Amino acid sequence: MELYKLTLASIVNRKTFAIFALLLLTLPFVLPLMTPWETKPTILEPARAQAAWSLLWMAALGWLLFQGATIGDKWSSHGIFEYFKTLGVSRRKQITQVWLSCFTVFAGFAAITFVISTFTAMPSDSVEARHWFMTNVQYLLLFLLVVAPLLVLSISLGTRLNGAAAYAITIGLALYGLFGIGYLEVFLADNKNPILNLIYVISPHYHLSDLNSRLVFKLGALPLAELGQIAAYLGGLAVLTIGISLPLYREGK
Amino acid sequence: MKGTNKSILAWSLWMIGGIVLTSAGLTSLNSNSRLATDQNPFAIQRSAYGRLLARLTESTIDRIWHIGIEESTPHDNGDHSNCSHGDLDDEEFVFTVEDSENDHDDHQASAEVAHDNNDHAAHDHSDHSEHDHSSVATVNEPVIEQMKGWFSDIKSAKYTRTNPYSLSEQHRLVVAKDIEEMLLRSYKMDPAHYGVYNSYHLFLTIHAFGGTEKSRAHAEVIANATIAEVFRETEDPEPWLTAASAYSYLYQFRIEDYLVAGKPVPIEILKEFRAKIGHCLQQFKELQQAAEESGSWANLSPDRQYEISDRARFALRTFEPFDVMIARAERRKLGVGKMEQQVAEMLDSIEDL
Repeated sequence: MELYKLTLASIVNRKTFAIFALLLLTLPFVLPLMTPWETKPTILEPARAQAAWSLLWMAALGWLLFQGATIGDKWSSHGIFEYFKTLGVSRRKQITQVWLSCFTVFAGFAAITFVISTFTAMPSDSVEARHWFMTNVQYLLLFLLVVAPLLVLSISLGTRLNGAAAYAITIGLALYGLFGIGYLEVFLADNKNPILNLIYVISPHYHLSDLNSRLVFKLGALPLAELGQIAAYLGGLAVLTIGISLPLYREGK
Repeated sequence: MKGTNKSILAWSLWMIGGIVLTSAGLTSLNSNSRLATDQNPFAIQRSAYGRLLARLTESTIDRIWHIGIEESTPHDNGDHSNCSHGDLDDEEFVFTVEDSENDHDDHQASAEVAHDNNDHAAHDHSDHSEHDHSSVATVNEPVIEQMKGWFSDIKSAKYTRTNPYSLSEQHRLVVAKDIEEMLLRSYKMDPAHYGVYNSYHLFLTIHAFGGTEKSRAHAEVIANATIAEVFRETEDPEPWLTAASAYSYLYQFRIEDYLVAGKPVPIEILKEFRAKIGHCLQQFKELQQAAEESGSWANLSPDRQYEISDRARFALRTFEPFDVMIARAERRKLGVGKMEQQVAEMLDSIEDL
């Protein structure tokens, strides 16, 4: 686990995580107060959960994937991976350790969001409260199924391209899956073109993991069957993303 | 070599597993129509932040609206320092979205006659403090306020037309499209927002600003969507004024044919809308009282309290004539009945003779 320790120490030493941690801790309490809540105080709590999760998405897209891409780039450029290869650490172990080091810090971010969203915005009604808790657990599961494999991809691309290009590709894919598909959907509403429709179907539908609506409008937890379908789909995408990432990974540039 | 083949096989199996899993999930999601996005990323629309964004766009809409209207009034040409929108003697026709929110008298009071754009000339522009930057005011202002004013002026300068000719038709259309997109975006953010809803409705229905028969039909859909949204509101009183406004627009749509044909409006329609608008105003009153009791009304700034009260006063003023109109319609109905009876009696007496 030497590579894990080295990478984690490097991330901690960069200190950028502290900025995001501070924002994740404070903004969910500050941002709702900027909304017109005066005559509707009950919107404050859902707004807090919404801010917490939206900020976690931003931290994932803005910090986590960037860390993966730059560390992949630097470690391969500076021969660190080559060095660990000589020590007998396999490619798969290397990528796992780098992934885990980035994710150790990010797990803290996710924990902050989960705690704020679940426990500081919990509805008072016991039935709603149970649904609220379950929705947050489901959200965390689906969120990780999207973000975790994208981190593997950013590390692998970083080892092959430079950090900026690896980050741009990964964040582009994430933004497309979260927002771009919505635009494509509008475009395809009356369009029967088989190629475009095929692109739509094979696109990564990451937006399925965005459960903000369920929290903000208190829709209740996802039914288990539906959760299973989404988890299977995103899990399958995760398997494919990791499968594509592994051959892209290389120890030296 | 053997190891490489083994790892390729493992990788292939891994990928096949991924494809099977993805396909299974995709198929079941697609069959349940769950694959489509809700077109509301991070639930921003209709959330607390949506409400905030809708409110923030009000002044932007107002600013951009001005460019579109320049065609009919080159009021932004040249020196701005002597220009006061609060001047009621200003006979230029300037319509702003703020006007549409704060002073609907002309729009709705004239509901029973054809909408005449010249009515807007009488709009009260005194609320237009953003543009009311007379030199007297700036001298006595603190430095920081003067600096703020400078930024406000410089922002206006960005849109000041120095071209002496009017906007081209193409540019006018582009501006109209921009405004519509912005209004629609704001409307999606908060369909129950009083200002945003009314601005969007007026944009869709006034022909001079690009309204067509098709967009008027859309305005009806929008009105019903707003009403449906407001009917879920159990806390904030102001959206009920938006619903009252939406009902009054629906009422105008319903009575248009009668007005054009010069026929009296049936009493059933009058009663129906009196009940609907009355319900909205009652809800507003109850929620406003509840807000006062719970203390949440006191959270609002005095300006906002005044704005809401002003809107409520306006809604009440437009609601009051319903009783008179219904009484008049009932008299008319009764009068016609009596005449019919008299005619029948006269005919009977003629037959007796």
